[in-house]
Amino acid sequence: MSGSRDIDHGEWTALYNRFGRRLLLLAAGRGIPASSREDLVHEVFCRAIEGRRAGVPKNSQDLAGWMYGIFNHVVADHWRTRARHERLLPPGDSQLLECAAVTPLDENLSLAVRRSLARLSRRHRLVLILNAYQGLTINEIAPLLGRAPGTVGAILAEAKKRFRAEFRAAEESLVVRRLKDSGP
Amino acid sequence: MTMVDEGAQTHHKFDEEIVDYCFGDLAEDRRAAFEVHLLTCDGCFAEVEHLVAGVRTLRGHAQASAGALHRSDLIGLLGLSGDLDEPFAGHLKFVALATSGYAILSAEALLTELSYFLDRFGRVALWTVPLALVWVGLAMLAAFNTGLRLTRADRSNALLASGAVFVTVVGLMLVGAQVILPHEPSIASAFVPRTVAAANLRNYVLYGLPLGLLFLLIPFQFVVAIQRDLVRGRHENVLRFFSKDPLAISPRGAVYIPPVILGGMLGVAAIYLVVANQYLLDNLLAGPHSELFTTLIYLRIGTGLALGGGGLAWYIRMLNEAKREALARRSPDSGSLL
Repeated sequence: MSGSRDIDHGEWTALYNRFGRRLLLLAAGRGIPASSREDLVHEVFCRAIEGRRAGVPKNSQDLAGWMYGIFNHVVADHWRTRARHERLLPPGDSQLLECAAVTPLDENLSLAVRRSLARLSRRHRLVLILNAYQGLTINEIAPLLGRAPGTVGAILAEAKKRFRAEFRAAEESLVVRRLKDSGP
Repeated sequence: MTMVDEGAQTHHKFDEEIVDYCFGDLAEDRRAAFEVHLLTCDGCFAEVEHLVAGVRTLRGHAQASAGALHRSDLIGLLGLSGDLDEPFAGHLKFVALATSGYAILSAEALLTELSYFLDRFGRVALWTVPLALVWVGLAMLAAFNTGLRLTRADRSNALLASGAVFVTVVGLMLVGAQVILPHEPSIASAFVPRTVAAANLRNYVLYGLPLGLLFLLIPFQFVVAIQRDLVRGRHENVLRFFSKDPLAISPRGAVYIPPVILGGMLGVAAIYLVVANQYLLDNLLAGPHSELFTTLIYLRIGTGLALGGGGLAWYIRMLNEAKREALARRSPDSGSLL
């Protein structure tokens, strides 16, 4: 590989510190159960170490792309293995596994979400709850509200943006309050 | 373009995709590029990490934890009570329309009284009409705001204070008008006409103040008080109140006027206004501006009835929404969320 090199143990640790949490987040986004995520990320690094002889990219962007490629292979292998296991399990057990993987949520997170929703306009709140909480699609929401799907889509996109801003503000205010409460 | 500009632009492009990514809406072809960016950008990673947790809480995972979103929270968020902390408790449009409509009606009424002899009173009309428009608009806005603030604070004098602000500010204007407006007949008619100042005072005492209080301020105050009671979890009492249960307590700081009574009053007022004004127009002597006067009379009746009718329609709609929310909160674990 051009522009690549081998790296030492210390650099591998730094690499793990840099990418570990990020890969965990990506794994969650790919629907990997919480109980398997850490193992999956370890697997990514094991494969990266195995493949280091071919050279590790120097450039930070190339390095990220290289790690991402390995991650994608590991995720694909994970689902293949899981599919094989599920064929061997009696029906229903896979759902139980999923439920067990659901981690209990932070009370403060719930409070921040409630506050963020409360700060949205009624129209945004309604569309967001119907979509995100009730799981309705834009085409299902449109007749409920008597609006065109395109309009509902625009309202939903706007609602999600507003939710992001309000959620950030709500979290910040909760952090400030916690700091005040814990005080000197 | 410098490297820094290019980097900032790329980052900005990815920043716009954060929401789509966290809600799982990012197109497959954009996702890979975004995820590679996440591996290198600390800012985007931190943002995504936070928002993903929020989105997960918002979604079904919330049902699995004790402190998550409860059904009753959602009913509140979807219903009237969720808007209590919004500007004007979520009734900004109503307040804007009511305030501007009432101010226009007041200005229109004054212009009507000055229009018959516009050649003589034109100069006075030129500055008193805009002044009345602004003054009355501000009075109405101050009254809405006072009532809202005190209702949010659970004060029992909310309606009284709101009404007092309105009557006092409009009263001050009427006192000033008695000094400023001409003490000369407002029209030439077969009967002895009132002076402009007296006619203006009569318009407010007989029509303007009752309309503002009964159709706008009191209903608004009652709706906000119900919203507050729903937020405080008094939905059982709200339901009892609407069911005319003798044990139900009226919301603090508000007076309930049943819509049917308001509807009846509006109907009687409509008949009276048409008959009384027809009598006035039948006895009106022709003058250079009698046509303008007649037009303004009809416009004034129309504006007044539209304002009263609009206030009543809003009131009925809000009461129904409040009932719907109170019912949904009473049985939080049964039926559909909607």
